[in-house]
Amino acid sequence: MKTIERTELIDRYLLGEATAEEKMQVERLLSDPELSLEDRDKFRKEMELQQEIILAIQKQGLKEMLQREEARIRAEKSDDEVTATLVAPRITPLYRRIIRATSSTAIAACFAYLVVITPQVSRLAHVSNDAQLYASVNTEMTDAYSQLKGCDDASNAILEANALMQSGDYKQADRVLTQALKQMQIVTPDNAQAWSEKEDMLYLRALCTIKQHRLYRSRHLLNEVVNMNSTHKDEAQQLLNQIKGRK
Amino acid sequence: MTDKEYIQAFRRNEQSVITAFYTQNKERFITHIGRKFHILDRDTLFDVYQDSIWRLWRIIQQGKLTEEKLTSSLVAYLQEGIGENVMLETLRKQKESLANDEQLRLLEDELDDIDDVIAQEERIETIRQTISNMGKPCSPLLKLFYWEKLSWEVIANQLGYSNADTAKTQKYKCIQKLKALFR
Repeated sequence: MKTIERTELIDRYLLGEATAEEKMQVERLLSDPELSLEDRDKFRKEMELQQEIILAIQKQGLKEMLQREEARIRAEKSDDEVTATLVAPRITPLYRRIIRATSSTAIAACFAYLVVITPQVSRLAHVSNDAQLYASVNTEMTDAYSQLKGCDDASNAILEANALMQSGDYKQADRVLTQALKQMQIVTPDNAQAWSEKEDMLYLRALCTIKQHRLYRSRHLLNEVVNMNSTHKDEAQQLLNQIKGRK
Repeated sequence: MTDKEYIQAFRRNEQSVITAFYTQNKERFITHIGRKFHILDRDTLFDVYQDSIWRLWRIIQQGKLTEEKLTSSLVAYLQEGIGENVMLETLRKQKESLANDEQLRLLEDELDDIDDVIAQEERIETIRQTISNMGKPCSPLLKLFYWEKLSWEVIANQLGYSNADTAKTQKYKCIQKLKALFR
């Protein structure tokens, strides 16, 4: 038998693919007394070595498969850590900023009420027939109310999204923020508070989409934050660099 | 999945199921072996776990463990039947570095029985490292045939051989090369 044929025969025998006839052939080569002891021993050793080679190849295959799995687990863990490190330090300051912003708005509203609205209402009491003034006061009150209400909507959305993100519900947090952003009217940098809120919401949405592995959307949102050129610009740029090239 | 289903999946070499089993039981295994042998080094425990998964795969593939032969849970078998032995082998190999002589003395009886296993595993490991360093064409060719169990037509197509016979001849040359190295 040629060496190549013998190797093929051993392969099929060891891999459990040998026919009954081939199995008998192997048994004969291992134990036929008509063959010399040297030949039988040589065949046995060759078979043992071929089995070790096959096992070594299979061990390599399994090892590579487990290493790929480990790499996948590490990548998943690292994604979580990246997001956690970038979200965690922001949550507290953002929270504080919201409270600060809400407090400042409340103070501003009280100030407006005391300094602007109250004297005008007082004036109204004295000049009850001044229809023009009535209209002016009404407008100012309505504007103040709208401004406060608008601020509350955005702040509430950010607070709610933060809570949802902390509980791990990034999908719902994203929905809340998307809805709040839709309700926001056109915002310009002149309106500092609304501008800052919009930026906060876009940035939080970017974090939510990273957590959901929607990196195409994340890139779009982060680019928008970078282009707004305010508070989260550096962090957004850092995140953009980190997700660069990932799918 | 039941233990029976896992054994079937290991036998059929269903890679997604094997990796899922690997991931699910890793921490439990590492904690069990770490506590039992007072081992804190996570890298050592991790190597022992991967080696144990390899032994489990091999035992099932060789038909030494079947659904009928399994008397405990598959995880218990992995931890106690395989993992503890692999850990003992590792300790045997590292015995010079073991600080606690008493612990080693207590293990000696068990360790004597596993010298042969160590010798065979070490030989397989040496061949594995050689194959891993062989590179093209042997390493990928042998892997596709013996691990992925692909047909010669598919292997020839994937690796750019003109036909199945050419790929088969190349495999023969690689095997002969390895046999010459380890004869």
